[in-house]
Amino acid sequence: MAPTSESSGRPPANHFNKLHEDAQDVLRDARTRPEFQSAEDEAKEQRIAQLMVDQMSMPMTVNEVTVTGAKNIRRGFLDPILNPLLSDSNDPPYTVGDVMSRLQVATGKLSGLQILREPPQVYLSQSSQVDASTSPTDVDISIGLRELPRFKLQTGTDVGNGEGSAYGSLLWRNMFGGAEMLTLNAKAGTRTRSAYSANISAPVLSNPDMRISLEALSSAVEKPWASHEEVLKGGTLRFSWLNRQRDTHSVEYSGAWRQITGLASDASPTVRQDAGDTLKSAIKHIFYRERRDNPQLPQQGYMVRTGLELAGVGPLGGDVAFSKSDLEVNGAVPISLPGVKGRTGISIGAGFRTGILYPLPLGYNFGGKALPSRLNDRFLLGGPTDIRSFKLGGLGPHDGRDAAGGDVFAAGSVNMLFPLPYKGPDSGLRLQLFANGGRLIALRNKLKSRDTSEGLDGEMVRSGLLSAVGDLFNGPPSLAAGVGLVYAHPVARFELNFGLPVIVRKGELVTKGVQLGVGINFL
Amino acid sequence: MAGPPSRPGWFAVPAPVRELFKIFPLTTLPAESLPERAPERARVRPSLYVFARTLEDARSGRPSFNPQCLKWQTFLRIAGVDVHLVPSNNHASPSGALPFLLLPTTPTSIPEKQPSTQPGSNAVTKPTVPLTGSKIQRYAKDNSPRETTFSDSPPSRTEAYEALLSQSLRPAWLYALYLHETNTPLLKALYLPPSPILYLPSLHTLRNAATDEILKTTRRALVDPHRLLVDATDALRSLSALLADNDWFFGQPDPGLFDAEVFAYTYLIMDEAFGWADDYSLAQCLVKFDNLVEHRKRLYERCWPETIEEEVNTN
Repeated sequence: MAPTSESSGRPPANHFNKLHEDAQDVLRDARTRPEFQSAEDEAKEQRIAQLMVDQMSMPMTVNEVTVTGAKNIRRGFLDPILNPLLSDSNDPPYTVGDVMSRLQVATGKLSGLQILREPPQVYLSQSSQVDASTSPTDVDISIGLRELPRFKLQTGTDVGNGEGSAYGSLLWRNMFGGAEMLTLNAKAGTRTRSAYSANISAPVLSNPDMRISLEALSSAVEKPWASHEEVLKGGTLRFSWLNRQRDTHSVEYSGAWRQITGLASDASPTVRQDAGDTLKSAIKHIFYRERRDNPQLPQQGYMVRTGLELAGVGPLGGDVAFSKSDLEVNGAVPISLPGVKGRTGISIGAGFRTGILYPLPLGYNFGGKALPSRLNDRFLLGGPTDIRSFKLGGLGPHDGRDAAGGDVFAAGSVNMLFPLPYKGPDSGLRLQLFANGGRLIALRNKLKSRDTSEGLDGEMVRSGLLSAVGDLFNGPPSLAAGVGLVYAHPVARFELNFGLPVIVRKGELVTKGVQLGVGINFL
Repeated sequence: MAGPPSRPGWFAVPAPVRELFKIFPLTTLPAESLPERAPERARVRPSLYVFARTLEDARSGRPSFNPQCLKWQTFLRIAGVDVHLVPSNNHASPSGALPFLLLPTTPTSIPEKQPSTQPGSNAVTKPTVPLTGSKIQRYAKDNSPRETTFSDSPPSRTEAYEALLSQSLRPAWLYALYLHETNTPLLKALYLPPSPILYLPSLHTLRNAATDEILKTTRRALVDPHRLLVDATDALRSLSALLADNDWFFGQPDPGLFDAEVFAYTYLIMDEAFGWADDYSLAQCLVKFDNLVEHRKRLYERCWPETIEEEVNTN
């Protein structure tokens, strides 16, 4: 190659020519090299980051916070949210970083109250130096809010879960200016004869992650799977909070007067036995952790839910006494295919539910006899949203056509989701292959020699439950499998399945063939 | 397959699918046993659901505290039909009121091909519709082991005297038990839930229903306790005249449904263990009529011979 150019392609023979080159040219030449470019970019980024850090640690204090557009919000309610920003609070922010992070917390809280149309708008400005009380580092913060309308009236009709109904609801947001929420609901339908509920809830200490709510409910619901109608009047006081890991905890007390009435003419003796009034007074704790990417159509992650309810013991009163605990676990893992980049939309999911009802002696009679469980307290299993291809309450003990319910259950499901051809992984539609099964077992006194009409003593309960739990695993579960179409709508999940039962117990009610399921929580 | 092959319609399930459906479920296991509170699947005796003070009372077959229940309980005893009493409440009844009778499970509905250690635990029995009112009467007649004919008394006369019971005696009974203040503890023990929260609304509902019923039958604007007592005494006098010196009403050789109906009131009115308050006494009206008191005793001894022995023993 001929030494035609000085800058590129230097044969070794011409090395000395370099000495005659202009220094500027060398520099320009070096700068065009890729390794130099990336080194320079890195340095630039570092400089900016350093600048940001320097900026963040720049002194800044807040002189004034102005909130505009909060027509219906109480001052006293906003104070605990905005106080940490101000320079006269205890532990005030001194740097830009502090102010920014606290501002983020405050706006996060405001948006979490569910009374605003959109996240708050925040403006910062230098405080007026004319004011003698300001210091040079002071800024004024202006927060612009747009409230949602205070009242929302909604009427409509629902079709789902084998029921058609009409409803009306009134929502009164921000009743007393403290993000209190009043919801009144009225509903009448084919299965729900009538249901009225009133719910008032409010954040505690202006913190949207802690809510206290009081609910009153009056309903009459037909329960065709056990040939009766349940009339219920009750109230619930609930305190719920999110912990640091964003898990929901809630503790509630509920009291309810339940009446099993309106029996069908061919109702079974089991249902007739439990007809009439009962009074339940219970405390309950619920833990809920949601780590799924999309609860309606999980592709990845898991969910855990536990519930523990204690009724009728000690000071609680009422006329039923038991402890009822249940656990639900649900998870999914995505499947990647070799040669396919990114999400394939294929996933394998699994769910497991279990629960146990332990009869207890009523009130302070701790060593006394426990009352066997009643129809309205026992677990039901089966239906399009838990064990598919079985009728609602189709598993477990049946008296004639009536689901008698059980005291111990375990249920599991495995499903595989595939995206539909031409639809891709981003649509809410999936094909599914499923297999699900479970067992629901009633507590029986195994010591037949003893009289149980007055109740069960501790030993009978223990031996009965132990054998019921043992039964869960010593026989095959009732089982069904099939294929179906899943559509995940933001509000609910729809499933259209074709399934067939594989293992069934005598008396259990199955749905062979097509079954439609609508719900928000599927097994 | 029997019968001519029918032409498949549009909605008929295609044969291969039908065959497939027939294969599933692959395995059918024995039924899960019913919960502890559920009655046994197999009923050897008919079950009569009645109001009863305690489970013990029901089990030993003591007279129910409710006149309607006692009437049918007595009638079934007269007929010699052995029933199992189940304490219950109105919500359980198909008619909205007790009593009702659940027939025994017929041997055919318990498949014998499934031997089981627990009798009936594997059997899935067909639902049976319970019997109420006159259907109980027919059942008792059809299943009575006794040779009694239950010769029907003239219906027109029975109706007239039944009206006497329902129009004149029952309002006084309703007033005494449901509305009379001093009997409130008694009412509470018999019909009201023990919970203080449910007690008041239930009491209110019961009293309103009783008032409505009294006003409807007496066709008066107000409930007049004294007048009700006078009417009841008149009714008892007519019954006493009807019974005269006979053992049973209408001169029958054996007691019948009308005897049971009268007994249901007279037994409870004069039952010392019932817990009546003293200041409004239907018993005071009844003791005047010796033959009715004798009739009460006669029927009680005939239907509850076992308790008579007990009483003799304890005395």
